[in-house]
Amino acid sequence: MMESVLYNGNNFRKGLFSIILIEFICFIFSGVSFQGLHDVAYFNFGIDPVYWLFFLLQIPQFIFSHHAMGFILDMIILVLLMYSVFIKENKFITWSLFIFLMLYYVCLTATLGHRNYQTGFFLMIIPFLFTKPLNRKFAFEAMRYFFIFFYFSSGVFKVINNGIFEPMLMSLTLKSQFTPYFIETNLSWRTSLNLFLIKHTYLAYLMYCISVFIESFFVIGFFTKKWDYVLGLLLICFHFSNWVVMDIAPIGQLSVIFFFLKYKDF
Amino acid sequence: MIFFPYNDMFSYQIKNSKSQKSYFVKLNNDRIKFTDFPYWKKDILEQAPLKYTNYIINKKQNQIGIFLKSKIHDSSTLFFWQSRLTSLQKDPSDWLIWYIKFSGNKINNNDSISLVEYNVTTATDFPMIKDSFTVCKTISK
Repeated sequence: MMESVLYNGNNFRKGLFSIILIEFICFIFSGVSFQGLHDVAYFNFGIDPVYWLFFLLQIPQFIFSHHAMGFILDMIILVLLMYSVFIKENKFITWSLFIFLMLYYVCLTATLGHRNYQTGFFLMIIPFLFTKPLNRKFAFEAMRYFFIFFYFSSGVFKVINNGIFEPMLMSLTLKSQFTPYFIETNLSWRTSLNLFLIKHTYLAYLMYCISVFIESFFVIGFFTKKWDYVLGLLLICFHFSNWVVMDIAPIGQLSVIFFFLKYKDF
Repeated sequence: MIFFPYNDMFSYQIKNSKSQKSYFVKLNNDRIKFTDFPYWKKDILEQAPLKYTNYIINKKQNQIGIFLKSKIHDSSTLFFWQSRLTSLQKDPSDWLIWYIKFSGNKINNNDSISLVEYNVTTATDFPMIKDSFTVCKTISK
């Protein structure tokens, strides 16, 4: 029994870190890793003490202005992730990974100029910072409720801010979201799909309602874990359709999907 | 806040359904295209010009700059905080050159680089440009 739990826990950890490794490789190939962010001339972030701490210590500024530093940090993160996946768990390495990936998120979103909500790739490491099984279990529970609240509240906001009561909203959002595509005369299948949805307002509205339903469905996670696998499958549908329709790829949030699909086994 | 699970994106009704603004950087009068890039790079190339335009239009002030000014009244302390939390000492030409390099384009001497705001009508099915204005411009050296 104990061996089985350890085996599942080890596989779960390897799976989660593998997903984070894949996501980080995607960041590198997209050209937005530490190395890609050199010479950033304008950064912008909100009133957030986490960002402030890093920027007051001038760590992001130092990385932005030293190309070699960006390359070294990318390589360190890659090696540490590979060590965690292929060799074994190590407390010092896990802490280092958490700090480096959080620093990366801070640098990336400060360059972007607004807070992107795809935080899974570093937040999902938090439970592994705890070595005692009970503490780790509590940390996983906390992380589970964090993401359940994240998705559920997103659905609730769409109701209380009246988005759900505006049948034109999705069409208008698509027009707004895709304005640069039209200006560029980007003739890809995604632009054609969006033109179709812009013209068929009620089909776009139906898709919006389905996404609100999926997000609101997360409320069930507050009461039972039996549906976690379903929540994971719904997340795949939600993020995949966001990617197809809105061109918002879930790179950064894939580990959260894995978590809901596999947490019960762990 | 990073550690608060809050996400209200796409929940608000759109105030102006007739027009939109869009931002592009031009290199020698050619718009830098970005919509075919992978997601995160595309997002930065799309969002950064909007944020930078707001910063320029608001006389080099952003949310943090305004917040710091409202809280700190001693000029040397204010400068210390602003120099670390904002891009106070950077010139618009730095940003334009960074953008061009980040988008993967090369800059030659005497290239003209500009950040342009487009007013786009969305009253029609297919959004169309109404007019535009240059937010900032530089000539590379």
